[in-house]
Amino acid sequence: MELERRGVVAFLVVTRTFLPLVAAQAKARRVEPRLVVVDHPVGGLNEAELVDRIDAAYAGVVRELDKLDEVGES
Amino acid sequence: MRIVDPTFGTPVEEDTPTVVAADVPARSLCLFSNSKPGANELLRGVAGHLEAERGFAGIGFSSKPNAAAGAAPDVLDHLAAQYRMAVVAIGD
Amino acid sequence: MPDLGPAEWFTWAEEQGWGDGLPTVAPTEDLVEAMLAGLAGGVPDDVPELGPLPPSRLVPGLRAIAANAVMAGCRPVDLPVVLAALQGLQHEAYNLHGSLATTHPCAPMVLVSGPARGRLGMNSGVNCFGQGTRANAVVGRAVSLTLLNIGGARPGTMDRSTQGSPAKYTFCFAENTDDSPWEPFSVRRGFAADDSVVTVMAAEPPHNINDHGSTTGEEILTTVAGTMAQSGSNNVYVRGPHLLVLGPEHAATLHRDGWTVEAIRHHLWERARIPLDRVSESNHRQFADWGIKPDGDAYTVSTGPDQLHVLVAGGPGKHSAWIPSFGSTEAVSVRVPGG
Repeated sequence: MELERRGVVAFLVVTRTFLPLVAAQAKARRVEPRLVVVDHPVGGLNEAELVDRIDAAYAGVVRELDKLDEVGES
Repeated sequence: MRIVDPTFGTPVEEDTPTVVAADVPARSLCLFSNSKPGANELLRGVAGHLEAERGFAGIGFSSKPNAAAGAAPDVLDHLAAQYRMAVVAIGD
Repeated sequence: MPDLGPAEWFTWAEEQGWGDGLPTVAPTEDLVEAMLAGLAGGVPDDVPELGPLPPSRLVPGLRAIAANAVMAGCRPVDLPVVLAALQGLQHEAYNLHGSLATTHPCAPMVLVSGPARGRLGMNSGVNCFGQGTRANAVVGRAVSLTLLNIGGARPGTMDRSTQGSPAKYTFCFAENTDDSPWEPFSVRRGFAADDSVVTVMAAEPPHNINDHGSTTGEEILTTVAGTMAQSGSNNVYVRGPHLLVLGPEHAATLHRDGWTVEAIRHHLWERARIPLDRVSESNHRQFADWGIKPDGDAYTVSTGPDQLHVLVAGGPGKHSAWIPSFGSTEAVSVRVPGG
């Protein structure tokens, strides 16, 4: 959120469990972040689980990039 | 009975954001990690896909000094001066 | 709103999301005004200026803080200590936002030194961390309620503690200078002996140190060091302060054997070490990622002896307490206006 305020298009990767915290922080800052939600947790994963999280995060980032392309922001 | 609202507070005025430099390429992208376990690996994995499948190059990396501390404003200013996009690990 | 009895008020307040789960006192206008009148002589110059409270980023008004003090059960005499504690929490080094949003179970610990202890009737002796003394209970609770109600540190959304701790309801105690063989903690931190001082730290609840068997100060410190050397503590890799709260009997033995506070700090720094074989391989890697390397065949528990704070509290008995911190925080001391 702090990068977005500085003019950087920021894709925020957040786990589903921590989404309420990030949403509440965004509300307090009166911003609408570009959220990429993945399953919780990210820490303590084995290699296969980490690959799943990476794939999910990448897919979310691509969705956000495509949205940017649609509105001509990128 | 008349109650004093125990949740009352005054919203703080946000500082004026820094404007990114005009000569930064549109597809310049960095990673910013919250330094929680697994966050760096997750971001680097996403960066690998972005380079291989979406043509991004020269992806930068920065992180909070530790997961328990806030991001330093000068680090964020520095990133904002160099990159137009960021993938940020923010919520665990 | 209509007049509500205590039980109806409790239910209504709970429905608004106000409170900590325990019954509160309704912050009626007359009770809040009476609370603020307690600042007479201290208003307005001595009231600390407070910035926005994370995570809501709302700047708390004095009336709203007083309302939380009423809800907690405070008396007017308690309010200056509550305000000083809130001022301490807002010091950058305390890292209030991090300490509220973390999964760690830290709570805002409030330690009171100086004459305010007597004025408020605080407990620094028997059961000082426990129940039974109004001032200890309500000052800590008012701080927590303010963070919850104004700061928005609501469990499950903004407060992400994995398990939390009972200390999140209230965590306030006083220094026992009468039974301490050393200078008061607040004086060692640069305040005058007649200053009332609040020290705050994002802290775990006290961990008991039982030592009934040791007969020398050095032996007691062996037990203390062993207790502090925990591989599952934030302090191993996040660093930050520790508080060693010696019971008066342990303190007396240490003093009898010639131990100064500085000598205790240096001794514990050298001896409170975590052997490498008590740390998992993945954690070795994680600690390295954080820039933490072993010192020889063990990990240290912070950055140096200056992060090991020592004071005396409690009553008779062979128990002391180790209070580890969140890690990325500092013990912040603030003078209470009015002495």
